[in-house]
Amino acid sequence: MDDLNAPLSVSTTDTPAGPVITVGGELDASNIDRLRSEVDSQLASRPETLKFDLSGITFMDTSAIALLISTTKTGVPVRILAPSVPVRTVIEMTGLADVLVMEP
Amino acid sequence: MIFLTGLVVVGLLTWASWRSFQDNESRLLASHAKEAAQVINAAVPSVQTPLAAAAELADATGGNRNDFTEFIQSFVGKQAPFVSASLWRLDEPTAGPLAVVGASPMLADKPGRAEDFFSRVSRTSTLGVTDLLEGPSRRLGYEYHFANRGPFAAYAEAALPADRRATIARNAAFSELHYAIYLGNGTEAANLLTTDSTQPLTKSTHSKVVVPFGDSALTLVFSPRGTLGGALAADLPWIIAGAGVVFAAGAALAAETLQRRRRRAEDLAGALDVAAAEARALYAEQRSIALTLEQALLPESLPQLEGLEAGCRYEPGTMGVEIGGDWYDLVPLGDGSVFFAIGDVSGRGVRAAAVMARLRFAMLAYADQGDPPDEVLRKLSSLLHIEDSGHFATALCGLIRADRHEVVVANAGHLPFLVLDGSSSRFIVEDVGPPIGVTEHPVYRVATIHVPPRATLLGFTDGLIERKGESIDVGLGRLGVVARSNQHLSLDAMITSVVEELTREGTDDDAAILGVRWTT
Repeated sequence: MDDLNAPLSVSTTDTPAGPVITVGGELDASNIDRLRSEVDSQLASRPETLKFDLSGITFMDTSAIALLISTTKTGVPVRILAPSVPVRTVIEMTGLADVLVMEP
Repeated sequence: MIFLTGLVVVGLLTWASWRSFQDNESRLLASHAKEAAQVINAAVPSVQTPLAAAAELADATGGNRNDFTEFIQSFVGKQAPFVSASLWRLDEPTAGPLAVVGASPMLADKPGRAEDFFSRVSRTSTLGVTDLLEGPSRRLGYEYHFANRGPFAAYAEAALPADRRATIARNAAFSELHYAIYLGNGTEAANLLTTDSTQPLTKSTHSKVVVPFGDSALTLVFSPRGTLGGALAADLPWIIAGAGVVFAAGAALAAETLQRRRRRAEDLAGALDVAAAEARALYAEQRSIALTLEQALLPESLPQLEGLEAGCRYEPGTMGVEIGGDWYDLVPLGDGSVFFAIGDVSGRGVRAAAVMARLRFAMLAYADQGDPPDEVLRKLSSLLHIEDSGHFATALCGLIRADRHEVVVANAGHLPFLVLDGSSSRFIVEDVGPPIGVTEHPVYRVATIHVPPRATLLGFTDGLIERKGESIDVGLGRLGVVARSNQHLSLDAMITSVVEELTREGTDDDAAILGVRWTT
């Protein structure tokens, strides 16, 4: 059924302020492992912060939330940049605005 | 010459068909073994949950014997999982149990045995398992305690069949299979817990699975009773050989060669159909096991309540065969209030279901001892940590005072509940705290909602409203509209219509819905 999903895109840009993982499309249990392996490889180099640009996300489910929360538990601060409306709504509605800090 | 060639072709065809049958057998055996392992695995929470709740209670009450006895006694006895339950201090096993319910624990029979066991399990935070297999009454001992909390451990013993031969409740996963279950990683006769076969299964075609079981493991060995693919699959090589003889004879008559070839193609197409039907049946069977498990973990029926109508539905998602982690509860408390809860553990599979069972029962225990909803959620948070288990949970719970038309509610990251009263519908969104398992010291607050006469409350999980490609508030809006247009129906009919209308196009995720309506 993956072929019915809006395709997921995952890419990482190195900026002077640390890596930014840009994710677009629909993110759910069927493709979360692609993002997970990218997060793991970025965490391996112990960045000061790990930023996620989620402006292109059209849908995300609890498996994505679980991955983001787990990332904060590694001790590396996580920032969500330019969250799209679906992302912002899920984070605010699940009472996670203090855990998954969004900018702006 | 043509006849000889025909025989060679028939021989090859028969061999290929026989090989594919054997491959099918191994694949089905492995698949059945995996399912059976899931069934066994799902039994673990039924042992762990009452012990975890009892240990939690002991820690909270400073080891109060009466509280422990009162709580655990429904789990001990003839129809219950345990023959013996007892409360121990981890640091003073030599002093013996603080309280005993049912038979006296075999663990205390032999000098040194309790000390050895508790010193081993005190270092872990999983379910401790010990074998008490010698002697005529064979038992397994289980222990649970919370690391870095109080010194108390809840311990219980379950009886095993004395002759090591018993039939496990007949379940789809076990049909067509002989099985043997061993404690630990090996298949030594001394560690055999139970089997339905008089012969060691490891001597014939078998499949072996090791399932983690608390701090130990279970080794499950399976062997087919007959042929797994059914009689048709077993006979297929001979059917093809039979058809092939006709084909070979026919091939000798050159005029019929083309026609025979077409028949051969049709036979092969038939074989593919059989394989496809098997795959479909296998999928359906796994799915039905997942659903059976989920239903076994949810309340059997909702209670009759004064002044309230109640209804619920669990709608399995269309995708996947794994069990989900959604749950709901509605339980009257002694003081005239009614406790309700709805929640969702992230992820799927038996581990998510085990987390769900643990949270659900702990929640009921806290509510039953009089904790207000915010306190229930706060205590629940100490039972789950995403960094350990990979799961988190959202949950909404509250107390309904039917006579006062009042609901006191607290929310741990869960979707808001819907209040419908004739003309209007609104979602209760105030004071949402973080989900369970996410932060160390979460703060939850209660909100008191006044409910108008004959109003309806609907709690639900995200599978009911979530759609790809849209924000979740769009789904909430759709639910509000659909619920409002169906509220003239009885509560049960309304829930049925709402679930049908919202899941008509199929939903990937499981959906749970719980409804309460004031009768006055």
